[in-house]
Amino acid sequence: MFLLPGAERYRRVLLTGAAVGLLAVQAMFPLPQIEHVVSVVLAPVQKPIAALAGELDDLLTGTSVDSTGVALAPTRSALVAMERRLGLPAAIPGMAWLEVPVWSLDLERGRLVIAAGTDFHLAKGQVVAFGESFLGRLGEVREHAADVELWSAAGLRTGLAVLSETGLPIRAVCFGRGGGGAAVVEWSEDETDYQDGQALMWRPRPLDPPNLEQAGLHLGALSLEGDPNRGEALWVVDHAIPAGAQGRVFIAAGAVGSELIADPAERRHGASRLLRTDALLGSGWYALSSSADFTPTVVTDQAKVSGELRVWRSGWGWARRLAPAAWDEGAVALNPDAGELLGAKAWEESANPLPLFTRGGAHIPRGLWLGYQDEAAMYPATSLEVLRLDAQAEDSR
Amino acid sequence: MKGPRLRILIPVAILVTLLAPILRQLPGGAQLPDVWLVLLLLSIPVPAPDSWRRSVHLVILFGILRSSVTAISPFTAWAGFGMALFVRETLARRLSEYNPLLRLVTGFSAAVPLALLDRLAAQQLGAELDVTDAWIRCLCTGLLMAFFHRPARASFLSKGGGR
Repeated sequence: MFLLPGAERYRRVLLTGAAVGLLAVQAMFPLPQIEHVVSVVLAPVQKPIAALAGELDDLLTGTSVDSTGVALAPTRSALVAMERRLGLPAAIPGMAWLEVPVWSLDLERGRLVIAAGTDFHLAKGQVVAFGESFLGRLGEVREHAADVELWSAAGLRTGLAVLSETGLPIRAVCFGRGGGGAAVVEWSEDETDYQDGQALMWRPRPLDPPNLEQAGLHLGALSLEGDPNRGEALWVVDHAIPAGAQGRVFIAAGAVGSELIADPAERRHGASRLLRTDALLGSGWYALSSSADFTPTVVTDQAKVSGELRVWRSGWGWARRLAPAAWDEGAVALNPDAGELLGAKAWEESANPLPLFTRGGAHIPRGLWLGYQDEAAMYPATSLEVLRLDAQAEDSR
Repeated sequence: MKGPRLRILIPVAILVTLLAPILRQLPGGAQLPDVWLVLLLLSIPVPAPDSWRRSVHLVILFGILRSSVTAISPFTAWAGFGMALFVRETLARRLSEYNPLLRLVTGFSAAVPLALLDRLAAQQLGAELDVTDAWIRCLCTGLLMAFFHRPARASFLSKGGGR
């Protein structure tokens, strides 16, 4: 019998230990490129096994899929129609409002990325609004995307007018502090008439089209921050970005092309369920396969969101079943009675269950039907559809 | 002592893989031990054979099978299985294989790295693996190791044992 000398054994232990260590590092801090290569190599073996396990599962458990309620679902266009109704600012003579969907929102940096750019004839400095709310101006404009610099972004100065009791506007300038916080009123003609809760109107720049003032855009309300008795008080602009503005915004334009509405590219493909349960994570996860030539982000079942795709392995992947309310910040609610759109904080406090839609962003299309707030996560049917909101790689910063 | 033949082990592993999602759905299924880890620990003797080729092959195979029926990456399985074998080998050289309690400790300890990696991977996916369930899975692995006694490899009795 051949016995390894101690040195040889230690060498082997060291090498194997290093290999296991590297695997552990990859497991803890996964590199997507390595994961992708391995998933491509293993897909021909793993996909049939998952499919076989799924068939066996269906055969032995024989669970039927409940698809009731889908027919009564509000359509996605209901959200879009509401956003248009709430978001279109007042008509201005000689100008038009271009409708552009929002790609992503970065409140920390005070920036919105919208899904249109020079392809939609947009240019730096154009005014962006939603309903009566002034949002900011276009910053960098790329081919298929543009940045909206929110007026509350750190370091940005915006002209405003405070409506005094006499009816005469008091001109002032506010200074953005970023992070979604309130901007500080930095300069004012006269602060003596200031009162908590006074409405603040946006004031155009001298070189802006004069008609823009007729849009009557608001910034927010005046609010006192700090303790006046200690000389630490500041007048700030209390504001919130409307929930609908996270989906689409309206851009003032003096000259327009053939289209007034920009539509982001959305990719769809059929998919089929492979396995209803994850062998480790449980029934909150399911596997599906699709021959889509893109990496999907969301799965729908008869136009209703069935799950969020978290793992995609070259032709098949894993989605997470989520109850509509579990989408949390990723959902917006439509309140048809009050005619308003509600963000996560608002709909969570609602007494009645409201219909929820995807908020959009991170390659997930906006306005997909999630279900009512009090519904449980649905079980996926066998025929599904996978989606991805597409963008040019250089635009998805 | 030789490990089970591959022509038996591989079909058993595939069958276990196909049944694993169903087992997880059963009442108390969340607490069931990791079936591939149990199979791996039962099919590789301690102390480790001179050739580690078979162990490496089984680790890779079981990792592939496991990640076929779970969203968790195969790297987690490979790293967890590798660590489990290391931990068991280290402990088995110091603790008696003939005492069920010590075998339970060995099996439990071997299952911990995989449970930790699974928990981390689940967190990265936005899921939550219950801590109690993870500990019970480790305990069940230990109990199975204590119950299914594999005597130490009697290498002096068989030439090329463990291949």
